[in-house]
Amino acid sequence: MPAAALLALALGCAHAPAALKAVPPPAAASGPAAPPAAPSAGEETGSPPRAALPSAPPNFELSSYEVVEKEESDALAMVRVFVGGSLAGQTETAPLSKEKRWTGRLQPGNRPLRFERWVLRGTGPWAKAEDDFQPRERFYRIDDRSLIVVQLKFFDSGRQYVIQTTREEPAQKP
Amino acid sequence: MRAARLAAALPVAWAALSLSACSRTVYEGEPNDHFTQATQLPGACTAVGTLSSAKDVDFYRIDSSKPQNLSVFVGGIRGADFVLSVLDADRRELKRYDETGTGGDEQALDVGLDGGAYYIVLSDKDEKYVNGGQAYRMNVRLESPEGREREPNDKSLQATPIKPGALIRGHYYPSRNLLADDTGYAEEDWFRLDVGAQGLYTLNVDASEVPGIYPVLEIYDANGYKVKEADSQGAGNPVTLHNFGVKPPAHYLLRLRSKLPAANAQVPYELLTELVPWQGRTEFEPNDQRLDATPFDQDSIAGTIFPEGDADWYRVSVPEDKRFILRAELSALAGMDLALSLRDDIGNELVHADNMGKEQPEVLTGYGVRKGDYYLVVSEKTGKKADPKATYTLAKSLTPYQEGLEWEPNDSSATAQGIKVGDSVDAYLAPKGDVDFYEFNVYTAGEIVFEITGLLNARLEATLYDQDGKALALGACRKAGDPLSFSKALQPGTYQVRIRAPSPDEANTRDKYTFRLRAR
Repeated sequence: MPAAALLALALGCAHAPAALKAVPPPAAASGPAAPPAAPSAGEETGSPPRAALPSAPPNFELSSYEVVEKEESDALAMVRVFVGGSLAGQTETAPLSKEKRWTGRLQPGNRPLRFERWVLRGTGPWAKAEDDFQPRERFYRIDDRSLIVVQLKFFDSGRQYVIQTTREEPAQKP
Repeated sequence: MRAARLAAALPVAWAALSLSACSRTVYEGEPNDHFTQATQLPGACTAVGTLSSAKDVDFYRIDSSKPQNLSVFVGGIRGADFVLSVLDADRRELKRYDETGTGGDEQALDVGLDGGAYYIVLSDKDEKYVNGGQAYRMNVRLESPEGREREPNDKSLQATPIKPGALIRGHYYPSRNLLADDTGYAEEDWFRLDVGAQGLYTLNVDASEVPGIYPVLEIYDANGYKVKEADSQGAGNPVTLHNFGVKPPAHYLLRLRSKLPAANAQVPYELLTELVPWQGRTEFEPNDQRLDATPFDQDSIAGTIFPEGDADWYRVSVPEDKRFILRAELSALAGMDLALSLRDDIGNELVHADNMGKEQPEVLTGYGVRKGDYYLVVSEKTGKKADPKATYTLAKSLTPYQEGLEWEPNDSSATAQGIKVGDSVDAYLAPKGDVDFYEFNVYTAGEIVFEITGLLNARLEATLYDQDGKALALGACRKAGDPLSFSKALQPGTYQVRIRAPSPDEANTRDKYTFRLRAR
């Protein structure tokens, strides 16, 4: 895997420059992943901005959040994105109720995408939500010209979800 | 044998005579127009006196040494419109009777006396009265208060205490409470029921019929809130309230009254209360709203639709965080068209089962549930039918979900049930108007075959949509019961199939159809 892509994953893809997020699909994870590493102090406190690599803009965006009934159950969470069974990336780590994003550039075509919800409760390891409660794999039409935005909203303690898909043309995206 | 029976009956007859007949006659001693001059009565007796003028008032004093019930009957005399009152030692008027007009009899019934002095006051309200020469006869009767209402019990604070299981007799009498604070003068009898035992109970209350009386029974909690009302639905009917849930320690007040102004001094009502340990097999009234829902933990539960508009809520708790299929069956009731509704934890309706007509059972064929509370609500469709004696049975089952079963709700493209090519699903097309959506992925281009078995009473039709919602193919049965099969060459993608009947009335709660998807 290119170093830039690894860095992008470690930083949380939503905050990384678009060029860094154009990661080739890594191998599908077989077990709980380590929590994404926190940005170093230097990165947070003003190390010189990296120059954006000239690249095509992202054509896919996942936005996910959860309706949380109690503040104490607002654990850290992230959502992983699989394309054709391979891990393509993951959102940043944030409380369940906070909106988390992942943007990337996927190969055009009708692609099967699957989203995986992971939660970090207390001091335990990252735990993948039960398969029963994970969103079903579904095909999405990816193309070069527009941005597919998938909004994934969980509720009922993650037992249920709603997916909303919109397509944004480049001109509409600032 | 006969002599023995007679001997056994004699004490009873003697007791009855001593209670009902006056032991002696007392003549009023004028002047007795004031309580300080009241004619002393020795107890049960007949008082004889006259009203010298329209303004004459006769006071009688009776000293009670123990709790007992006082009844007074004064025969009418020409020209006099009697008013009869009973006062306590402090001359507080306990009860006033003025049921008849000039020349009529008056009587007082079931006035509760404790230890102390009481006064019976007889007066006339016909200003034209001039009949000082005709004597009246006033029969005074004293009886044990056991099993009797004790007037005045027209307010909650005056409620007669009752014990569960004991029979209480009382009268819808007089027709009006002349001492009432409000202008309605409603005569009502209040009873207080204290339940101190541990555990949960259901209270059954039955008040017998009394000719000419349209009884209404109400239950109030300790805070004075009316929690249940039972209407007898007509004059001359008994009134019944069953399966009222009691959580001890509890204090309840029962209010019994006639819906229309009427009285009957001859025929008493009999009020029977029964406290039955609650086993979870009957509804626990009041269960008319979500917060009061009866826990439904057994396989079946019984209830009644009463009064009109009654809706019975039952709480079904799913304890495990797994997927279950909830099925419910509701038995039929004579003369009623019942409906069954499934609601979520905040009361939103998930399914409304009203597939059948009058006097037919209802079935909720299956709904996917997870951990949490759900509610089954039983009601009568018109809201105008009720029967306290007719009992319905609501049965439920929670079956763990397994692949191949339908997972409701799957009524829209957003809630489509996932299925894989090569798999099948057994599903109901119910309740009326049911629509089932299934979603599947095709990973390799090829021809996909859609097969649906026939369903009695329903002409099935299936529509295939691509992931953009565009209809690609339509298959339909020619007649009810026919199977359905069609195929379509598909590229990789996500697809949905909608299965339904052309008419919402074509539903089947008994049989399932099987939907199979395979690649050719």
